[in-house]
Amino acid sequence: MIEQWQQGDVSAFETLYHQYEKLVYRTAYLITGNKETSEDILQEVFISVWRSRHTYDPSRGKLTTWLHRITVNQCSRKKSKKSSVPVSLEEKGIDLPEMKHAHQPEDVLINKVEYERLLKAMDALDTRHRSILVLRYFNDLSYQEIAEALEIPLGTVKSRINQSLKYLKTQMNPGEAEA
Amino acid sequence: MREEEMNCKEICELLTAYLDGEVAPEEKAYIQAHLPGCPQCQAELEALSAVQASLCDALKSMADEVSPPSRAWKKVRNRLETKEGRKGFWSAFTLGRVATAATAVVILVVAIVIWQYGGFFGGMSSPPPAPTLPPPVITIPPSPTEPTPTPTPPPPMPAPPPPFERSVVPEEARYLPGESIDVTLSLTNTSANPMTLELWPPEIRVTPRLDWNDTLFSAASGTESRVMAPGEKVSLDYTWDQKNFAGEQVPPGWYNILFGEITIRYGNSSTSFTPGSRVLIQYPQGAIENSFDLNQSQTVNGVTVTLERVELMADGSNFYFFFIPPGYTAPPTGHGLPPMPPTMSVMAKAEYSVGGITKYVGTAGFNTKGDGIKLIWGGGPGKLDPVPSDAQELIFIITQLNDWEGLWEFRVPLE
Repeated sequence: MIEQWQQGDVSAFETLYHQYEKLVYRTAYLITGNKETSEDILQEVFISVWRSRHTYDPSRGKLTTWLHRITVNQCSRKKSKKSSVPVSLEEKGIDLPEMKHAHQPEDVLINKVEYERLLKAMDALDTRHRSILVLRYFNDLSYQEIAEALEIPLGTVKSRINQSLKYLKTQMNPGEAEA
Repeated sequence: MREEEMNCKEICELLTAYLDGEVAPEEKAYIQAHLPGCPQCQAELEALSAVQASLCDALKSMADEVSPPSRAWKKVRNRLETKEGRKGFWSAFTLGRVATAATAVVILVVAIVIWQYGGFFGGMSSPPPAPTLPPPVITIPPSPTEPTPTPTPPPPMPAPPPPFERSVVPEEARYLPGESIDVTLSLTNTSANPMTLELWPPEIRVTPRLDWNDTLFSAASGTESRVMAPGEKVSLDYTWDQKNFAGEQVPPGWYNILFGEITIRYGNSSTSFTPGSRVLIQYPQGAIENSFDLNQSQTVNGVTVTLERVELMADGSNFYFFFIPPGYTAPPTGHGLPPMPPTMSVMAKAEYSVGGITKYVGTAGFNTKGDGIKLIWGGGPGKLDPVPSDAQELIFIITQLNDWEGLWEFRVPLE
């Protein structure tokens, strides 16, 4: 079934845009760590969708799968165009003192100090690894869905997630020897 | 011994997928049989599950802090009208022309058929067999910007540290209402090359400690870049009089004084950051320092949340809740298994009010507890605002709990 936006209905496309803008923007932000770049990517993704709308067949795959693919590819492009030291929580201001020094009770497994360390460690990953982590742990995609979205083998998804998490684990526990 | 090591190595390679529920049933059975007798693999599983849970929550928390700017749609909309936007085959602009072209193609094909087979009325005793076409294969199209795939991913490499130093003094300090708050930002170029600060001086914003988007006061940035010579240090002093845009004294609590966003460009690289100072404006009457075990439950739309404990301190407060999400299955425990993170991610936001003043308390941390999930706001001294010593009651409202509808409101008597 051809949707209205696929037939060139701009107001239907606007509805589609507003339905998915957060998903695309936030995914791009988590991959690139930069708001300005994410805004550019958001535009590029929807321009690509508009230009290629006749090629999309809803019966063959979810729209979000396609959106994820275009988003990740745009992130790869932007990253390679603009080499920069990635930033993450710092950008939104979380390089404040309590983030570095606060004492947390042991039962708080997840806290801002860990967030900062983790996201900093994640900045060192290349876009391919980082994108997969974002699709898995932010967008909640299964390994199979990631493989479909990025058009890579399931085994590659598995090994990249495994490599990335082990890398993050090592960064979070610097005293620990590599297994 | 060697075989045991091999087994452990194989198991370790599967643990991430195991935690993600992405292993085959036989692999799962193998792992579960192996774990109770192997402290090494248990430790690995525990470490990986902790990283996974933290990562999941860190990403959600980071994403939650940003939203696409409203201007973005206008920019997209404008580009749809340009030649670039009309490149699409079915664009509104070309639709008519394409339809005309398609009609012409159909007419041409029909004409060829008529010419080849002698027309609709003559020449052929029987119609030619219909050509058998393969079924159309339509897949999700590749993105126009598909990068060339590389067979082996390069190992992750840490990024080099940026060649500059920064400091904010004081990083953290306490004041009484009305006192001037002086903060100094310093940046030093530690490289052998010049670098550029954009823009200088940076914008200065004052926000509540946990609500970055609520700007209470701001000073505009400069409009020009500033080049820093090698070894040069630039500083900026700022004094906040504790007043908001309306010139009113802000209520006691924790605040951020933020500089930027500052972008530093050096060579072909750049980095952006927002350094800041964190200040507590104390209650002149003092703060409550006490703990309350409450076990107060609220059920809204079938979701029951229990406020278990409140801890109030001179410079902060902590709130501990417990709930069992609908349809939630707790991770396995026992048989020597290490504690596992919750099998569900939780996005919970809240606010509380004391004496008519409402404080946003941000996103909760969470952890496994028995057959449910523990939610924690605060969790350490100095994170949430303290509560004044003369407060009679605190109203804590959970405003968001994943996608379940409702507000869970708790009234905590403080006397």
